[in-house]
Amino acid sequence: MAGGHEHHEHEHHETFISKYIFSFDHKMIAKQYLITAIIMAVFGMGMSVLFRLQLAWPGEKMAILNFFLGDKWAPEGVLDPNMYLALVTIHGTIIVFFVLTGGLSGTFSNLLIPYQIGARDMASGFMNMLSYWLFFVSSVIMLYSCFIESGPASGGWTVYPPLSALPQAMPGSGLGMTLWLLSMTVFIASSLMGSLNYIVTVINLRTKGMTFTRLPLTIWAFLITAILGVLSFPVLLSAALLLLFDRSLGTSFYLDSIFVAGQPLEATGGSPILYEHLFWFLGHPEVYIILLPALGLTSEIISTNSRKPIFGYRAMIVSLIAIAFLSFIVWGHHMFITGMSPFLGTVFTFTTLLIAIPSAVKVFNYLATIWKGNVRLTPAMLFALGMVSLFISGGLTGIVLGDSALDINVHDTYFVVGHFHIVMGAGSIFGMFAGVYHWFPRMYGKLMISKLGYLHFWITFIGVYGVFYPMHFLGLAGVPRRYYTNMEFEMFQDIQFINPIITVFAILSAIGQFIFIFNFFYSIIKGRVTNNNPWKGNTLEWTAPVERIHGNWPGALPVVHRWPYDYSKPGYEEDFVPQNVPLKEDELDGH
Amino acid sequence: MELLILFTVLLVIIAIAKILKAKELIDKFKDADSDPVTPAEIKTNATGMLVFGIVFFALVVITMFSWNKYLLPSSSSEHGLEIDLLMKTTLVIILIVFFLTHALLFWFIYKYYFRSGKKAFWYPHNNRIELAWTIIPAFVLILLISYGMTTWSNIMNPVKKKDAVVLEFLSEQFGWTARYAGKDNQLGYASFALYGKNKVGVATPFAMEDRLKETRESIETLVKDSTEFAKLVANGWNRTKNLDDTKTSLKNFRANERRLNAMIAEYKSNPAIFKAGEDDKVINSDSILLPKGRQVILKLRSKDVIHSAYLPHFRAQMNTVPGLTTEFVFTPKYTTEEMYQVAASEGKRFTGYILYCNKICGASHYNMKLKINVVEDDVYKSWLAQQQDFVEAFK
Repeated sequence: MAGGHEHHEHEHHETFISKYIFSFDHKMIAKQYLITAIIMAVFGMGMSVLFRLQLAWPGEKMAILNFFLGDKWAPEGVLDPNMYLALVTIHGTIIVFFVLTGGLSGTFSNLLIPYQIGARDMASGFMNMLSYWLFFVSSVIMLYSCFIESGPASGGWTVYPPLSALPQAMPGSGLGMTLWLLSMTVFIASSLMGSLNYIVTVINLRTKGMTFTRLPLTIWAFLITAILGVLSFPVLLSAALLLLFDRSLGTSFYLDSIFVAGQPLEATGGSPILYEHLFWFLGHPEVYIILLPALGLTSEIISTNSRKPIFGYRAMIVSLIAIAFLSFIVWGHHMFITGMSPFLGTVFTFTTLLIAIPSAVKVFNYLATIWKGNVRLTPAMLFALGMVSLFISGGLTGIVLGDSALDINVHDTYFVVGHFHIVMGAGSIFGMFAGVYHWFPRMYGKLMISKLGYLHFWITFIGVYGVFYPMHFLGLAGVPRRYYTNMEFEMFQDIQFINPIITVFAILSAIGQFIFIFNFFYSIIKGRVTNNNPWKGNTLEWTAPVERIHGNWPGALPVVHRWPYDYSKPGYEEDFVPQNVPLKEDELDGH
Repeated sequence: MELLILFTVLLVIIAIAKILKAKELIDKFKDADSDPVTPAEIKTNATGMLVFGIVFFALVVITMFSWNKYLLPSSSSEHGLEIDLLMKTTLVIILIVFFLTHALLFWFIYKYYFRSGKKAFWYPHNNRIELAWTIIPAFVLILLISYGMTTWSNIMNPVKKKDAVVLEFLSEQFGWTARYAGKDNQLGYASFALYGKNKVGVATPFAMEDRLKETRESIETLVKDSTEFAKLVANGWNRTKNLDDTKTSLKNFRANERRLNAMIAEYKSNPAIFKAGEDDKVINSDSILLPKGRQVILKLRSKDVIHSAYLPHFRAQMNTVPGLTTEFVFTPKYTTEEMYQVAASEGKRFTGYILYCNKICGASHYNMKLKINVVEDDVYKSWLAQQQDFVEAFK
C-alpha cells in the first residue's frame, strides 16, 4: 500500500480533470461532497419555505409561489395540494439522504478518516471517486424529477405503497416515483461504496501507535455509522426494488385487495406492512447514520474548545456502540399503530426507550467536559453546544413517541415533526456546521469569518427553536402532519395563529443560511490565511502542513504515542499535546 | 409581513458589509499564527448563551401555560385517561431533565468561558460518576417502560363485552364510510371484489350476483373497446396507451370475475358467513352516532391506499391497510353535550368529536373526515333502528 502512495507523490503532474473532477484524493472528494450537499440543502430548504408559506397563509395568492412553481403548480400564486405533498416529500428526501447522509458522512468521513488515523488516503481512491460520482448522479436524477410534467414523488419521504405504487392514486406516483426509486437505487450504491471504504480504511490503514482506544471519537462515530450503513441500506435497496417490480412488472409484493380508480386490481396476496418493515429496518438505523457522525464531530470540537479531555472517553465509545446496536431493533416504533401484533408494540417500546440510557450518558459526559473547562466559543464550538442542546430537547420528546401507549395519540402529528426535526434534522445540521467551521482551515488553509459565523449561529439557533418548539403544541392539539391546510377543521382554527409564527422563523433561518453560504465561498477566496493548527488541536490532521498535498504528510507518516484528548494535561506548559508527541517517562496515557 | 422580511434582509446585509470592512482592516495586522477568535468575541457569546438560556426558559414556561388552552381537552374515553396520566408523568420527568441539563449547559458555558492564561481542570474520567449517571436514567426508564408497556397492553388487549357496538370504518380517497353490525352483532363478510355501487363491499348472495353481472358488463365493454383500439393502432393511431390501459383494465375485471365465481361457489357450501352481512347497516352520511358508556369495537379496512383513523378526543388511532382488517377498542365516556362542559371547565374549546385521516393518502388528505356524535344509549338505539338493513338498502 505504502509503496503505491509514494509513487503517487513523485508523479504530481495532474490535469484539471484528475485534480478537480475525477479526483481520487480524499480531500478533494470531501469538498465535492460538501459543495454538492450545500447545493442540495438550498433546494431542500427552499422547498420547506415554500410549503411553510402555504401553511401559514393557506389559499392566499402569493406571487413568490407562482414565480418558483409556475402556472401549473401554483396558478395565480395559490399552491396546488399535489405540489404541496411533492414539496414535503422531496424536502424530506433531500435533507435526509442527500444532505445528512451523503453530505455529512461523505464530507467528514472522507476528510477526516485518512487525516486523523494517519493514512495517506482512503483504502480505495477509485471506489471513493466512484462513490461521489454516483452520489452526484443520484442528486441530479432527484432534482430532475422535480421538473417533469406529472411532478416528483409525493407520497411522503417514506413512500409507503400502495400510494406510491399506484399511479392512479396521485400524479406524483407516476414517472416522478420511478425517478425517485431510480435515484435512491443509485444513491444506495454510492453510500455502500463509501461505507465499505471507510470501514476498510479505519481497520487497515491506521498509522503506527494508533490503536482503537487512541482513535478520536470522530473516527469511532464514522466507523460505526459506516457499519450501520452497510448493514441497513441493502434492505432499503431490496424494498425499493420490490416496489419497482410492483410498479412496473405486475408483481404484488405490497399489494392486496385494492380498488382504485373504479377498478379492483388483479394484484393480490402482498402486504403493504412488508414494505413498512423493510423500509424502517433501514429507516431507523438511518436516523443514527445521520446523528452519529454529528455526535462524533461535536465530541471532538467540544473537547478541543473546552481545552479539556472529553469526559469518559471509553463510556462515549461504549454508548456509541450501544446506540448503534439498539438502533437495529427499534424499527417497529414507527409502526405501533399499523395493526401489527400488540405484543410487538411492547417489545419495541422496551428496546426504544433503552436508547435513552446511552444517550443520557453522552449528554452528561458532554456537560462534564465543559465543566471547569476553558471554553473557547468559536463558531464551531457554538454550533457544537447548540447541537448538545438540540440533542437533549429532541431526545427527550422521543421518550414520549417511543412509548407505544403515548404514541397512539401523537403518532403522525406535528409533535413528531417537531421531535425529529430538532433531534436529527437540526441536531445533525448543527453538527455539520460545527464541522465545517472547525475543519475549514484543514480544507482550504484559511479561516472562515468568525463574526459572520456568530451571526449565522444565533440566527439559526433562535430560528430552529422558533420553528420546531411551537410544533409540539400543534401536535398535542391533534394537528396531523402533511396537511395542505388545517383550515378545513373547526377544531384547529384557534391554533392556526402558531403557523405564521413558525413560518416567520423559518424564513429568518433560511435567510440566515445565506450568510453561511456567502461566508463559505468568500473565505475560500479571501479568507485569512492561518497556520496548520489554528484551534490548537491534538489530532493528527493538525500536524499536517497547511498545504493540502497528495499523501497528506511530506516524508514519513506521523507515529502516535497517546490518546487524542491530552488537553490541559498537568506537567505540560501548553494546554494541548498532539498525539504524535512521545509520552514522557512515567507518563500514563489517558490518565 | 413582507416589510418585516425586507427589513431583516436589509439589516443582515448591512451587518455583513460592516463586518467585512472591519475584517479587512484587522486582517492587515494579523499573521497566520494569531488567534482566530478574540477574547471579546468569546465573552460576548458566552453572555449571549446565558441570556438565550434565560429567555428560552421563560418562553417555554410562558407558552406551556398560555397555550395550554389550545391543546386537546382531557380524554373522553376510559383508556384515554390512562394515556393522559402516563403522558403527564412522562412530561413531568422530561421537563425536569430538560430544565436541569439546559441550566447546567448554559451556566457552564457562561461560567467557564475562555480566559487566557487559565488552564482547564484535568478530569478525563470518573467511573463512579459515570456508573451513577448510567444507572439512574436506567432506573427511571425501566419504571417508565413498565408503566408504558402495561398501559399499552391494557389498551390493545381489552376484554370484549357482549353488548359492545361493532362498527366498521372503510377508508378511501377521500372519505370514510361507517357500517354497523346488525341484530347478530357481527359484521358480515366483505370483499373488495364487490366495491362499486356496493360502497363497502358487503358480500351477500344478492350483492355477489349483482356484482358479477356488473363485472361481466364491464368486461364486454372493455373487449369491444380493446378490439376497436387495436384496429386503430394497427392503422397507425399513435395513442397506444389507451390500448394498454384497456388491456390492463380487462385483466383486472377478468380476475374479479374469477374471484366472484369462487365466492359464489363458496357460498353454496358455506352460506352462513354470507348471510351475516344482510342486517348490517351502511351509513351514507358525513356524521354518525355512538352511544355513551358502551364499548365500541372498531374494525378498520381500506379500499385503496393506507389511511389512518384518528379520533384524538378518544385517544384512539389505528391505520387502515388494504388487505387487512385492523382493530381498535374504546369506550366513549361523555356525550358530545357533556364534552362541551368538560372542555369548558378546563378552559378549552371543543368543537365536536371527529374522525380524520392521519396518514398521507393523496391530494385531499387534509380534508378527509367524519363527524361523530356521542349520545345516550337509547337515542343511539332508536337512531340505529331507523337505518336501513343492507339487504333492503341494496336492491
